Amino acid sequence: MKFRFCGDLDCPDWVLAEINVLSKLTSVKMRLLCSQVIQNILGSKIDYEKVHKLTADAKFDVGDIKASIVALTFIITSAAKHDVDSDTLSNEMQQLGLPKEHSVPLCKLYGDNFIKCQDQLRKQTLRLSYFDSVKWRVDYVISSSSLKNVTEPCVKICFKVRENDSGTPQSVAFTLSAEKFRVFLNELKQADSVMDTLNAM
Amino acid sequence: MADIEQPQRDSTEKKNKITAWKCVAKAKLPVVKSVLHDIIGHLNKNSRPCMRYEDYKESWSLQSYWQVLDVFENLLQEVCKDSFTKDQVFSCLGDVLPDTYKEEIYHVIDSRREDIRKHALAKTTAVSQRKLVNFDWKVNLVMSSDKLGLVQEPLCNLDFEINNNDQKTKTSIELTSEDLKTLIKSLEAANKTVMQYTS
Repeated sequence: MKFRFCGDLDCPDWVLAEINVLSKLTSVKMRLLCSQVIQNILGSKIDYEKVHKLTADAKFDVGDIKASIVALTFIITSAAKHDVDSDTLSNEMQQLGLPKEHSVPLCKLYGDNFIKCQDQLRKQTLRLSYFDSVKWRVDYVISSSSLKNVTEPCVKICFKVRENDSGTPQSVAFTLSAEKFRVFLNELKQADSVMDTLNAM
Repeated sequence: MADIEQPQRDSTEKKNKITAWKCVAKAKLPVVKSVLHDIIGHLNKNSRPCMRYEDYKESWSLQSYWQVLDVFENLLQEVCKDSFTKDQVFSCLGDVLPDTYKEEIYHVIDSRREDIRKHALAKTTAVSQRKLVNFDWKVNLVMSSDKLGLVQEPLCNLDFEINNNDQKTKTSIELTSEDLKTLIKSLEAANKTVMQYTS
């Protein structure tokens, strides 16, 4: 069978196996576990102490805890990745054998955090570099060794660029003449208008 | 050159200059004009590799051709430092050349004043550690990624080619729409100042 939350592919066997394990939890514990997992997807850390207590009743061992967290993470991120709404996810979870009282809290939390999850995934999408900030300085050149009366401004620009989201910024600095600067700014504005039309689409 | 005494070096330079001007005088006037136009036309690209000796081989031997290029490049360097007058150009040209030649050379330099000044300006901007040689941009729409099936986010790639101590380095920056707007806003302020001081 194909599932939308798996990108119209088969559900991986290990997820099927974990759905069985998750069924052992009570629905209240399931909701609390899901909320921990979603918080983790959105960037905060999982409180493992709490998760351990939640799963103590169902007699989960360490392997089960790890596997159930990974399975829930997979289900939620994969569903958000493929733009699946919470009703469809609930249906598909029940088809896979997760009891309704378990899939309802899972899908309720998923639906509530759907936009946030997608934003987070969009943020995590591969980027080659990140623009941090820009600094500039305009100099007025009076005279030089190759020209006695210059009287033209020139612009110095320094970009701060990061290679990854958390890395330290690197400087990219250069000088350009007033004429080239005007061309540069004009070209940037053209790029901006192209991007605006794309955003409006 | 370090072992040659200063006065001696000066006199050798003077002699070389005189031989070069003699070479110039040997060629026909239209050829001299065309070589000078050629040099000015290629000033920004470092004239030598762009010019072809074949075009002038009937007028000069290879050695004299180099001397002619040397002497003209020096002349341009000297006269372009200032807004040159006719007398200044004439005095730079020495005594060897006939007046008709001097007149024509001045005429060529005068008509290309703007080009020569532009070159000097470019050289002035280059007096700095890092100079922007070229830049390119492209806008792409990110469709999908391993994290999200439907991204639909435009990104702008900005490439800089920077000349740092004669070494060219390329840097690329990815900008989102917001990044680009911040950048333009900041540079807009710089542009205001530039416009204010542009003659």
